[in-house]
Amino acid sequence: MGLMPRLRSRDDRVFFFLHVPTTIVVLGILLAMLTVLFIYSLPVLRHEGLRVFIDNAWKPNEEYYGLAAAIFGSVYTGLIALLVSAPLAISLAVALEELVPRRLRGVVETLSDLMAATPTIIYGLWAMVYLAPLMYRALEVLHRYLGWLPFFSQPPTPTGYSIATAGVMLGIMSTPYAAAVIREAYAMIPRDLREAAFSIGATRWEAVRILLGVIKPSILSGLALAFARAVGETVAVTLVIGNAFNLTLSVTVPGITVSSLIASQFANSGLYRYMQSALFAGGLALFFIGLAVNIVAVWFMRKWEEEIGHA
Amino acid sequence: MPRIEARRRLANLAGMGLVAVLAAAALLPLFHIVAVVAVNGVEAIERSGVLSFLTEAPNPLDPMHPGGIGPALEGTALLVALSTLFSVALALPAGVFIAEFRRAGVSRLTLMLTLILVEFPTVLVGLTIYATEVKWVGHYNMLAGALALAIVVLPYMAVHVSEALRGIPRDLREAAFSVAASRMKAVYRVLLGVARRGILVGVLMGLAKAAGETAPLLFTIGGYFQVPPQGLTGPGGAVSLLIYDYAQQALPGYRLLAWGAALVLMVIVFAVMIAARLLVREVRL
Repeated sequence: MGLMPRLRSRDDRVFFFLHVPTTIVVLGILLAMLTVLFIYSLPVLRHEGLRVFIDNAWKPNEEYYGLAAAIFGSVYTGLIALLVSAPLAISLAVALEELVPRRLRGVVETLSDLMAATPTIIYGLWAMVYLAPLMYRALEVLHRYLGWLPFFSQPPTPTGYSIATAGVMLGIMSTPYAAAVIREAYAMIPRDLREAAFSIGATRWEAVRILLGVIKPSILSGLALAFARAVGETVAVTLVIGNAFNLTLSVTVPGITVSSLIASQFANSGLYRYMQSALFAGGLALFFIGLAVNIVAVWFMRKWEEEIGHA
Repeated sequence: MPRIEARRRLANLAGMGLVAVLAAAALLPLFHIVAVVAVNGVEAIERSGVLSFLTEAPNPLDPMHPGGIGPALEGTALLVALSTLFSVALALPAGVFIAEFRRAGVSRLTLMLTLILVEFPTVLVGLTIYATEVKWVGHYNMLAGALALAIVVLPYMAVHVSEALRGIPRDLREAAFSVAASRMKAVYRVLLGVARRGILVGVLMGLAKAAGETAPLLFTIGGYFQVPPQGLTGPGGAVSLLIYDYAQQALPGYRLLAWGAALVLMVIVFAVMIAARLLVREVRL
């Protein structure tokens, strides 16, 4: 299998070369983003060097910026989101295939699709007004009884705006995406495999566990997509994370992510010499995180397609 | 022996019970969100009246007569129309390319890049457009927002188009090639027609996405909610951006308008999505 297709006639060649620009457009979008982010990061990179990615600081008056808290916050909230969405998404996918009566399947599927399509800003508004106070009460309890764990070591902030609130909200909103990917794979499992599981006397639960093992690559792909979504989310996170430069494992206090940093600081960034450049440097870091996670997701998807192709 | 059986039966019950509970928990927030958006949104819209809320400018300083989201709604309509136009124009050939040469390296590369872009952080698209188009024009403008949205929606639509084309049965494909004068005509005149429902579903879903996106608009359109956009090269607002801005204001009038706007946005997005779903169902029959 080569890079070029077999083009049998002049007609085929015309057709092919007229469509090649689409590849250039898609590749161009990614490269343009990378180039622009890099060029605009240059001033702060010249000013501070790579410390801008490692230090935790945000001192506009001293013109010194460090993105550590934001980069950490993006990954950390993404991981919390994953912790929330993994069990929910896998269960939703399994329930749709195994438990929901056939007649109701379309309805539940539609609900899941609508949940996926709900604009993230609406999740943000909801989380800000309803989820945050709820999370405050939960975090208070967790801090009281499990305060010896580093995750709950600091007393929660009464607003409820915290790393935990952002993570849980991201987990909720990315669940239907992951569920859709997992379910598609689950439905594609060859029938004989299911029947083989039941024929050796497996209970339904045991069969489900076997089948989930079969579609492991697409579960990982779905979860990687959920993580990508969580890491990239901007406005909803900005509303509920509190935007404070805390570099801590404690999820009870406000934090910041790269995207919420960009969203919350951009308006003022023109007033300082290096702040906008520092925000673009954050964008550059986010670019590589996003690229890595999405490549992982696509790679697992490929792996699954190959497996099902051989089956 | 019977003891093991009992244990397995119990594990089965507990396991499947857990799956059911977690699946319900996954969807539970949707019901709560819909309920609170409906209740709070209706309260906001009632104070101004439906028509006024959809057409008038916001008046957040008077919570009893909060006005409406007219200008922002116009902005969203403009942005969605324009970005859908741009992204369809690019997504059709991209989807065709991916589907027609599915074995060749170039189109597999295109598919991979497209899939990577689907969940790429949208705030980066906003930054990129800001640093290029907005800097070039000199000020925030609606065209910048439409371009940013088009980039966000393009990969999503291209994947849908390619999947719709892939679903065409082989004999139909061959029939198309046998009657058309060229491959271009076979694909664009015949096959796209055959797959039109699938493509329309993709377009509708992309449209719904464009209507709800906020991050690509943060650094592109300026966010003016009092007056409708003055042409493409002027700044403007959008419903999603209005919710984001007003949600952060302390005065109650702003929050009220944000809820009303959220209800309007949710109704638009859900209506488009349900229309898309009904189309899919008809395809399957």
